[in-house]
Amino acid sequence: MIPVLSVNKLSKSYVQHHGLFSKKAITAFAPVSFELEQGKTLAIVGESGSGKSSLAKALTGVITPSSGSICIDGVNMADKDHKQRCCQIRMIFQDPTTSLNPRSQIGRILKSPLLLNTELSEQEMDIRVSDALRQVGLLTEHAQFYPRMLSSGQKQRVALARALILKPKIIVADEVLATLDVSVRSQIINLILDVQREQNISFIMVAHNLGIVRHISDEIIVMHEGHIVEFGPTADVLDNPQHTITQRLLMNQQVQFRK
Amino acid sequence: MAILDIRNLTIELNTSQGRVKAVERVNLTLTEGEIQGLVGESGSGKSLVAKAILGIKKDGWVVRADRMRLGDIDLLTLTPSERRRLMANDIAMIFQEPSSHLDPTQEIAEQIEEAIPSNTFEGGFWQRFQWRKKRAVTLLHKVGIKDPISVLRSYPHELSEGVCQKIMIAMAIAKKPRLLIADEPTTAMESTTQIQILKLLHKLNKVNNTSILFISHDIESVSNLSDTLTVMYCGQTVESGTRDQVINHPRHPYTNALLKAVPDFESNLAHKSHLYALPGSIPPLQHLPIGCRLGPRCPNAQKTCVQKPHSTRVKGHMFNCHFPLSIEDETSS
Ligand SMILES: Nc1ncnc2c1ncn2[C@@H]1O[C@H](COP(=O)(O)OP(=O)(O)OP(=O)(O)O)[C@@H](O)[C@H]1O
Ligand SMILES: Nc1ncnc2c1ncn2[C@@H]1O[C@H](COP(=O)(O)OP(=O)(O)O)[C@@H](O)[C@H]1O
Ligand code: SF4
Ligand SMILES: [Mg+2]
Ligand SMILES: [Mg+2]
Repeated sequence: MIPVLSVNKLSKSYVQHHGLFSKKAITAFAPVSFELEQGKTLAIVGESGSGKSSLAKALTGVITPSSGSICIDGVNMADKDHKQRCCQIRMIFQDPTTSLNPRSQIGRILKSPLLLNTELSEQEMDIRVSDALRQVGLLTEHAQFYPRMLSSGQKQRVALARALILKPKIIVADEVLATLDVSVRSQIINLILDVQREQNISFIMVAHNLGIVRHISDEIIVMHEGHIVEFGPTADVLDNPQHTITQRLLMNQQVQFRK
Repeated sequence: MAILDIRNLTIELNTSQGRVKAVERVNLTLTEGEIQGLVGESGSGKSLVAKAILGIKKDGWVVRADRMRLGDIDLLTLTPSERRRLMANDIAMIFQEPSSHLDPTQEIAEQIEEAIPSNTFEGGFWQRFQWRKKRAVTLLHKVGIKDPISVLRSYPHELSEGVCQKIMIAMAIAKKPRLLIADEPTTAMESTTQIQILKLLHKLNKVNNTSILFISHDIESVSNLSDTLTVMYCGQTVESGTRDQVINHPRHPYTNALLKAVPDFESNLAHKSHLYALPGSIPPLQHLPIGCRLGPRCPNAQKTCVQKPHSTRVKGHMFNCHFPLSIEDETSS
């Protein structure tokens, strides 16, 4: 079986300019390789600055990688243009308040990826928009709302709808659960689980709550200073961590103040 | 002895849509030397309660309470200036986003030295020379800053959020407060730093016997640290008790929902199965339901719930619900 996503020796370094003549390369992440099957969830964990967001952005094409290749369904994304890539892999950002344009109605926000990336008629687009809204548990009427009229949980639903609307194979989500209240967070997690089950979408989730990571992911990547230090099935890695970094992350999660 | 004792605290706010009870009849008791967790999702009124304790009042706020005591002092009978003096001496507070509470134009050294009250000086007159500076170094050592001299010479923007929070804590303990209020001190920090701050607060409590009111939106992060917990929803207290009572034997449907929404607390859960979730979302202040404010989202709600439920108290475990979960319920589930 061909994995839906295969990443080969992908790396990214940022070049920082100090004055006119000197520049310095900062490695966000060193060459990494991994694969992901259809309908599975991959979690990326690691301390702050370990390169998780940079990896997520490189996968979705928000930043250009310095080297390496990304293949979706065996097709190298470097040979494809931005449009085709958008239809295959989409990203959701952490803060829905800043990632949704406050001056656009939800309907417009959802329509814009369709306008940019497809040749659908106006009518077909409206159907897609209301389908996507319904999928994430909102009403068709919400298309007329502005972002400020929605709660943070509802905004996160809109962000998910926007990612779903192009029917991608893979959705990359960077810390989307971190800012949500607990009672809303469990609704969004259930929604992601449902969407995955119904449409066989693969998810890549950057997250830090290991309890949630264990519950929702099949595979896990542990990053440290730009390197993958551990990669494998989530249950195996978390039950039997081999690397000190993984052990430390687990320990941080389960500090007991009294015994 | 109770260091803090609040009965029926109500805070009304004037908004464009009229006057609303943002906090309704909240009770809070903190025993000397304990850490109490005050848990609630955003907008539940946690910060308003903290402000009411400190006596901070803005225009258009009406704060009422049947009782409000700090140790043996009745806060309700004090004049505003007496109140301010008492608060300055006996209560310290730390906040979320510590760097925004530090002065960006001043060196850390000056800011800490300013926070050290003269009456905390110990020793002979010959030790007066530069004692503030020496004490600042000791304080930074105490909060786990390894390189105090260089930190003292820095400006806030040169330091990480974690270090800034440690500085805030150092300034808070400089006056040896009887009560420390921590309003979401670790929200938006990464987990390694979070743990450092929690460990520091725990040590402070054990070594100095400082009472701490720890405010958090995340029951998971606060439960380990706390001796007792109070849970709020939409400006009402729903449940309070010891850590064991609230975490292991919740009686209120809301507490139960919070706990079940966290995969770590819910141990026998199949991989990728649905998490327990209440329907709907937190209502905005202008559209609060009458009676029990959880009503529209509560799985147990019945007609009587349009009346605000009275408190039931069992061995110090308090809950406000017409139809509390029975103890058998939660042992079987
Ligand atoms: N635009 C940029 N220019 C220069 N360096 C950058 C840039 N973006 C990221 N970096 C650096 O790359 C490294 C990895 O950053 P990244 O944002 O991927 O970390 P992260 O694992 O997502 O951290 P966090 O958990 O804090 O979100 C860091 O050292 C960071 O300082
Ligand atoms: N100065 C204010 N003016 C009007 N409403 C306010 C003010 N401060 C807080 N509120 C409202 O009171 C409610 C409780 O706020 P707060 O105590 O800050 O909640 P929490 O700290 O639990 O997140 C919220 O609905 C908030 O919008
Ligand atoms: S009083 Fe009624 S609505 Fe409120 S928590 Fe209890 S059962 Fe639910
Ligand atoms: Mg990041
Ligand atoms: Mg608050």
